[in-house]
Amino acid sequence: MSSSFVHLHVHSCFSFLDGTSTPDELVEAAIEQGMDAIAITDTNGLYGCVRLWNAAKERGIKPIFGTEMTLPEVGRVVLLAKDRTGWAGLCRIVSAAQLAGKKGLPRPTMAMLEADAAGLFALSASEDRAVLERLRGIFRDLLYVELVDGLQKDDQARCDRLVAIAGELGVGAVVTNDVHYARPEGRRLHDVLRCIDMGLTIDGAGERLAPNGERFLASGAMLRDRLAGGPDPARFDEAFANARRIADACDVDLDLGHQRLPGFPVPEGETAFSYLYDLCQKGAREKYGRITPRVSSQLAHELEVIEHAKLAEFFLINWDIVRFCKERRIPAQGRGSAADSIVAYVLDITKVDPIAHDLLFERFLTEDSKTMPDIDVDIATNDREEVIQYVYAKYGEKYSAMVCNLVTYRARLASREVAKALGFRPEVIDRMARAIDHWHVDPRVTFHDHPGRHPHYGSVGLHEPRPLADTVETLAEIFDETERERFPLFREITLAIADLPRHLSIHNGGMLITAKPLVDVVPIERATMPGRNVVQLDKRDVEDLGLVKMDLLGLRTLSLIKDAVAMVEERHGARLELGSLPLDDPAVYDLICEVDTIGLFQVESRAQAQALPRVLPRTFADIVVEVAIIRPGPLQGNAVNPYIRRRQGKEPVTYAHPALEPALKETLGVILFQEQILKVAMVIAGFTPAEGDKLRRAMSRARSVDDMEKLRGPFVRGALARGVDEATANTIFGQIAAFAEFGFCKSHAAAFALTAYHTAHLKLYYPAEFYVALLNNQPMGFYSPAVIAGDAKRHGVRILPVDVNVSFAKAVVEDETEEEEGGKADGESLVPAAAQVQDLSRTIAAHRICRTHHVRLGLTYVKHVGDDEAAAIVAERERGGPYRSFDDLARRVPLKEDALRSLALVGAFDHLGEPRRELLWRARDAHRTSPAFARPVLPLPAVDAPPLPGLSDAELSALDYRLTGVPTGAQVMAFYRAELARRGTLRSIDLPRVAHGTRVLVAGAIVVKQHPETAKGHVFLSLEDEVGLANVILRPATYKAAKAVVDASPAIVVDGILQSVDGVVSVLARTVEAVDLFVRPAAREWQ
Amino acid sequence: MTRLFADPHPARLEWREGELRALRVADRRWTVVEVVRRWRTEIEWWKKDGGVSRDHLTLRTADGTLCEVFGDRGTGDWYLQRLFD
Repeated sequence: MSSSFVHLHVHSCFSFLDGTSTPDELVEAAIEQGMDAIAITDTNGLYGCVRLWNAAKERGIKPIFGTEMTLPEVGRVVLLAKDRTGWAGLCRIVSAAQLAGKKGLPRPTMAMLEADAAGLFALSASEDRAVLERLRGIFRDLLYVELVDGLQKDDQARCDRLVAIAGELGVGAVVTNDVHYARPEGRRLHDVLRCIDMGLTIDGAGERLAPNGERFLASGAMLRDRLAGGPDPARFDEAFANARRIADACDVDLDLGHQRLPGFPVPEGETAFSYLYDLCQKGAREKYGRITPRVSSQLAHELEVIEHAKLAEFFLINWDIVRFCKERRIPAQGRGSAADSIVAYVLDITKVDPIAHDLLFERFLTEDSKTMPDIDVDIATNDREEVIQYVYAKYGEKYSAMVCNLVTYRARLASREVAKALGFRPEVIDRMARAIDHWHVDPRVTFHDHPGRHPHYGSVGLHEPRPLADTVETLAEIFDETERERFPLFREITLAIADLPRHLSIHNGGMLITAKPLVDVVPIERATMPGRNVVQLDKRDVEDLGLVKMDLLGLRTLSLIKDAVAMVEERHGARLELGSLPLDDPAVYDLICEVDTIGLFQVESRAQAQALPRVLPRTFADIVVEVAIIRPGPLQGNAVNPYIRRRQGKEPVTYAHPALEPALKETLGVILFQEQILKVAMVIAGFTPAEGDKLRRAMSRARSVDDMEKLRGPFVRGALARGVDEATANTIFGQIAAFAEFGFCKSHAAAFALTAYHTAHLKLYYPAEFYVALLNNQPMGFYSPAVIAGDAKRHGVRILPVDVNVSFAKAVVEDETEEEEGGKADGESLVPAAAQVQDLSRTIAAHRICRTHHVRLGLTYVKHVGDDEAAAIVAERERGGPYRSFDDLARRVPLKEDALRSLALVGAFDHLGEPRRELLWRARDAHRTSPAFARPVLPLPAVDAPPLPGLSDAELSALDYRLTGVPTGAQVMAFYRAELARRGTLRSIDLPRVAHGTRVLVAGAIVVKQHPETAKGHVFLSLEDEVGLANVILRPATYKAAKAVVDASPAIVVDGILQSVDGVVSVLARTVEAVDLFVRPAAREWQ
Repeated sequence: MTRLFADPHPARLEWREGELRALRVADRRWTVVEVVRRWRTEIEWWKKDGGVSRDHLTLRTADGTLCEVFGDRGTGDWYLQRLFD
């Protein structure tokens, strides 16, 4: 049934905590009501407009863009864009209001409305004639009086009064329902969201919640019925008709692509393209030396496509950013599909040769591409801000800003906030949040966020995502009666709230650059970071609008590489040019095959450690595969095991169709790279490269099985036309569909593999420099600093404690001295220091160039010692010479008492011969002499410490774990070894010598807990002991039984069956028992 | 002045062709000439008893009486709650 009524005042979930429905849901509900248009008018922003635009386009209805703002002078006003001028006005007004206020508290003014009212409809529900007249002065005949009958007590009477005032003033009236949820049932979630926003419980909110649940997307007939009473039922007819008229008048297309490029300054006499052409020719000569016909023709082809698509400036902008990085010696490299392009390579934006690695340009850019290609540049994290500032300076702050990142409700946050709003007690809320696993999935989310929602989900045998309430349900015994009674509601609301946006944050690297001033094109607001603005649209929105976006991503590994290379140059005089390293060093591959990969980029994870001994990479191409293989796509597409079995020669290499061989030969007949989807579509279904890429994109965006089925037809028809039988065509379609969403593109894998190779080179030859750089760039990678320290010790690199006379702010490499060979002054050593630093590795032991260098921890590793304190300690030492005592440092450096105590307790004064317990005793007195001590006091005689016992090794170790997180002495399990050995518990290092199928006991601190969605409910633990890491697998039933122990215990003893397959050793747990450690080492959780 | 009944009187509404025609309370019947106002209350829906969910009407009867009735949306029962003198 069609409806002439159109909703013009609608809040989506982008009215953060004041709307429950996504733009997609609102469009869907409007269509159900037979409506052919819908507006979204979120509070103080245009956050949902691009999603509305997309959803409405897809479903064939008209989107109307607007916002609701509240001004002190005129109250609430709804603004709707009539045309493109109106859209620019909306952007300018929203931006001006946001920038005039604080984050989250915009300050719109009448002057802002006056300046940019052109092309805007305005709706006001004010009964104040002066207000309406003032607004009419601004918006003229585009001002309407808004009538809302939400069945609240005074609504009907107010509508009567308003329609009368409108009549008197000659202003039109229009009916809306000030919608906050698509359907009536959304009211429940809306009430809870309002409570979260107001910081109230649902019992305490009282009249601050709406008195009924009528603010849904009601049909026109229902709204007419509400306003049908009174003496003249026809008095609102015109107001209903006006909703239609306004909707008809609004016409805004958000395709902003035509004004996307900001322009790039080129030398006089050059065009952007001619300049790009010259740069490419020059770059090609530098990269290749001799330009082969293949290089030449590929370059010519790409330049032709770039010229045709008018993208020369886009490439120049990226080239310029990378050029700037190179000039400043900032590691930067393009990742993603850009590495498929020879133009990007010869411009030095990307570092992988697309010719040598047979990459496919069309995955990056096709001739008829409608969207901007994506060039993501990884930049050393520590230097990224400098690059961003360069871009700001180059294009101007009015033309460039960071895109936003939507922070959405995930399990823990949802649990905390919903439980609080429902009145659960604080201690119960804490217990519930703690019980929720990091890997909990939210069943409502789209499959873009979770593979669990992929249309092919069922076909690959994945388990259903778990609502978070399923886990906290096990806490029922701690609930009181009200909590128990409300638990079903908690379940309902946490399901409904999952993945709803909560607020904006700044995106990690996405930067928008526009041709027109930003505020004419997109809305911006303040970011939390002082002085920085952020676009109210996220990365995908910006792409959809066709605007130019640079992704300047911070990659800590590049900072690691930069730091390590600098240290190598300083200490060894060797200037490493990693970019020109040959990629065929057998020792690098030996290292990786030995799975000595902690700290290596991309190949250090537990899953990689399991795959490496089976794949045994011996070439760079093998590492590219290795990087690509441990991904949800290949795992979900059941590609990993077939590939490995084929590589091991355990199964023959076959192809679903002979024509696939050229495309899939490099990966033994298995689809592992996105580029292969294009190639398969080309050879099987006769698609052009552009059609193939379109298919890949469509598959990756498909939201349902139906969407996917729509893509099947053309593929199968194309295949039939080329003589492929239907069954084979369907099989191949299934293979690429399962893979499309999650796989890496080969170019991306190759870019990452190159970085992996560089980190392997550094670890292999310069382990001390590598570990220092790794520790100084935390957090990064898969393991905690404590595990990295353990790995260092197992490579003969000692972790030396913080010392006020030696340490710098960050860790440094230090030569071994005789003094350090001995044990510690304090206490009696249970674990000889020398035993902790044996080099147990094979490859590194044989090749390392640095042999006697160790890691001296930095001052900032110590709790309560920040950057400023560390800098002060170092500066004063350099100015006034070494510190002579604890008291000397306390007098010379303005430190707080906490910092003094921490430094004393981690042994920063051990070398001055001052026992730690005595220093602790004196810390308060010493602090009174500090320049940081604000209150002048009478000089009191210091009280000498009584005789105090020294610290035991266990106590020293506990202090390390607590105050730096990095044990300088023994790993914690060493202190339990004697007892564990008595029970027959093996060390991790012993496991490879045990036969497959043997029942074993193994113990360790839980340092990694992983629950991959692709693992059908299995949980994987990495246990660290004093000699290495052990892998433990918990089947779903075992995990269920052991969850409480695993969640609560820092270490466990596992009784299980040893599994040893293809050199991969793990223990399949039967039972798990807690070990009550004296410390709690940090554990990391991964999906 | 209004009279608010602490214990609202059970009432019956008579509808014809979608129009409210009359209100009955005990033995009395009033002809309804106008629905002056109507509104809906749905509060405390999270409570064990389901909270309050009512439709309210302000009616003008043929004898000029103005009264407020409410209907329990769960049971469908109506009550006279207030009389305006």
